[in-house]
Amino acid sequence: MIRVFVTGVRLQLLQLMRSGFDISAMLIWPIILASIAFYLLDAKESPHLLFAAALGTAVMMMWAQVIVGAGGALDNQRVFGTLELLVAAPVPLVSTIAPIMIASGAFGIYGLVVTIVWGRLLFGIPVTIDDPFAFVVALLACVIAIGLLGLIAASTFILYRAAFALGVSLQYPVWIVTGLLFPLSLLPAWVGPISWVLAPTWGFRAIKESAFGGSAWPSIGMCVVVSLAYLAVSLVCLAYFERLARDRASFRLA
Amino acid sequence: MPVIEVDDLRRVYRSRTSTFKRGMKEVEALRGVSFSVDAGELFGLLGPNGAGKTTTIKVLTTLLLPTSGKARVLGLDPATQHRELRSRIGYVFGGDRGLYDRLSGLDNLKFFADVYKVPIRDKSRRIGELLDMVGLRGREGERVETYSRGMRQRLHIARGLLHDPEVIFFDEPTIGLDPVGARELRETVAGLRQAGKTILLTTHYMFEADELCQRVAVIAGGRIVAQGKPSELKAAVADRTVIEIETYGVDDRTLDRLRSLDGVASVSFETHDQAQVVLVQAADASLVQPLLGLLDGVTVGKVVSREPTLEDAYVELVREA
Amino acid sequence: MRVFFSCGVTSCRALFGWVNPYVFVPILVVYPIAQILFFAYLGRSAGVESDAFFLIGNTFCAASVAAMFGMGQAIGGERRFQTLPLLMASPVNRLVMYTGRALPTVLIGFLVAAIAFVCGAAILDVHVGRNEALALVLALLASCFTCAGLGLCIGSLGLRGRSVGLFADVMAGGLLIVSGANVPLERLPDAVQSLSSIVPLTHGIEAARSVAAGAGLSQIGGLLGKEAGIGAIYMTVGLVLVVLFEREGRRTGAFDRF
Repeated sequence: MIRVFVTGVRLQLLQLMRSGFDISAMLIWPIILASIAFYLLDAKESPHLLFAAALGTAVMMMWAQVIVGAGGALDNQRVFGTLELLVAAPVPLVSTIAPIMIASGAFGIYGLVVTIVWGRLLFGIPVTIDDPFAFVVALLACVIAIGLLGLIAASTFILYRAAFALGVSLQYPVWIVTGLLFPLSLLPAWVGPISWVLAPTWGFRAIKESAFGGSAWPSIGMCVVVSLAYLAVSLVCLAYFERLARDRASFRLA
Repeated sequence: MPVIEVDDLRRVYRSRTSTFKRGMKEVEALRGVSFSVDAGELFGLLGPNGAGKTTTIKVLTTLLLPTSGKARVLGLDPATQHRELRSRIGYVFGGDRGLYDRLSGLDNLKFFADVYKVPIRDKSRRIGELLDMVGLRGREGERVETYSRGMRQRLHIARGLLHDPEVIFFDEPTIGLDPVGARELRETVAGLRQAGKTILLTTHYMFEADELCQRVAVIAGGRIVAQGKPSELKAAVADRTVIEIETYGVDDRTLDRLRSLDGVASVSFETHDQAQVVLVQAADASLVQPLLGLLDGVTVGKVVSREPTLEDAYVELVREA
Repeated sequence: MRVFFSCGVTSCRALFGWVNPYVFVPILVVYPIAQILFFAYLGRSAGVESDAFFLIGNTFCAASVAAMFGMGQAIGGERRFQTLPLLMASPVNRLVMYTGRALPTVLIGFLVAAIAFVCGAAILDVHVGRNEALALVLALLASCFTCAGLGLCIGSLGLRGRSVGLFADVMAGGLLIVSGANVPLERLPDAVQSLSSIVPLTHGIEAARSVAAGAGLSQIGGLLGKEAGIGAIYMTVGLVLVVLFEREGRRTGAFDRF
């Protein structure tokens, strides 16, 4: 299964890198969102804040790439005609769909590079990383956690008539409740518990803490915890989806 | 012991009649299908569009649960023992879909080799062998989106054989291919049978079933209407003569009159541009004059009498169903 | 007239899958409201401007998405469904056909913005008086018209076999910043400020913000005129491009490429 997973991630990244649309979107949108954040937060005259905004924008893009991709993940496989081949394969469906989501999140690292370069060149934002090793680990943990949260979305959205639309609609709400560009203290108290179960919250914290000093390891640990929880839920959801598809002959498996 | 056994298989599809109104529509795609396939046999499932061929294959390849009835492949139940069965069967379907267009042929094969758990030490060798077998060596590095339909179909076959399955299911593999491509594909399928594979092939091309299959089942309206060797099915109409009459403007009443003539087994017609060709299966050619007499008032063109083909047998069987 | 309305209604039904509630609610209701809230909270965090600033800016952006994508889809969608060659071979008057398609995109854009504005205002506790409502409606309609014009320009690229969705996506993103929707124009570089004066939404947003600050309809007439004038220019350019690309497509066989 590890082999299938690694191959799947590699091939999905390859497909994304050959998609003019995805490359352009991951170039343009981080620049736009980061620029808005930089122009607004510039008022606070805190370079650290701007670098944090760059990191926050990168995590936003990871989430966007994953959740919009999630909406179309299983549906795209159906359109390609490969969904039935993946279901008919001897490996569990999770091992072929999870790589798609995680690769989408990993593609967001390209967005991170874009926001940091853009911020450095045009806004003179200082780029200093306190603990580079923890930063890399935090980045990986963030990508995997967000990808696995996207896996739950992929396996449930397919049951909705317009899966792609659901994915698109969940970009901003998650950006809001996970405190990527502004503190959660600005939001009502009931948002707090929601943020704790969402991967971008912990992923962003881990990345920020490794960059600015302070220990990132508890947040990295939380990424691992939520990832395992997401995986367990996804397994249940995918098994349900497969059963439903075989029983109702839906999703063009028949 | 048969490798594939199907016993009274039934499958009902339920769908909503509309988004807003309540009410379900039921379509009985399979109405009690039974057949078996022995080891090393190339078995054909022949029928028109919508007959139930693809539904049958989807049940046997674990993609669809039957409503009732039994099926076994290699002694395993596709409905409940799907995990064990999937690594032992191959599934190839026709058409443009089923491959990742932005990846190369090689990347597609590598991916599916991993998905089908081909051992790492065998992966490269196996891919190489299959590329040679399907004639794609030298083109494997190109993106699938640049492939012709024939090349895609050949890549499909390579993909379906990566894990060296014991049983292979082909679902209309030659559909949409040009005659040369289709012939090459049939040669490949025949070669697999000679290599000892058990093959179930669905098609609506009668000559394909006649050429390739050792036994054929004709399916129409979700039921098997005839089973046997192609020669046996042809024998059912062998004692007949087929009289083809080209007409312009024949109506149903006239066709009924033709059917009522003694010695006429069946009457059907095809439309070609503005002309119709009435096909009469009769006891012998002596009925030509009486038939023409009944067509008085109808413009008649060419009249030909010939021996029946498997297609005539098939048309007759499907029509009766 | 018949062609004008039939093209409008038909394009609505045939190409606007968005009218389907399963698509409409998530993309054209939830998404714009969430966008408004996101930038409003970002503004609060930065201590820049007011909630009304971001509410108005992002409401207009929501309208732009619906209008631009809709118009782009009105032509790009023909390519996807392979009905483009049939349309191009028909004798229908292009001016009437495309302006007919612009009408539903303007109305849908307006509807989307209205819903987003009402919900956003309720959540953020921003109050709009009845006197201001008419002025806001006019500013919004003018901006939707301009966006439909830009959408027509983008959609004309569909006749050249280009990916319309990509351009519309980039434009929608660019307008978030260049139109002053989320960043006060004076904070932007001079070059960007110059650009903002000729893109959709800028003048409409400025008019709407002036109304929110107490200006009357007569005081924003100039801004509305500018917005509508820019819209007319985009529409004209779009129609010219459509005619040019159609001629080129007949020469190069571009209509059948997908």
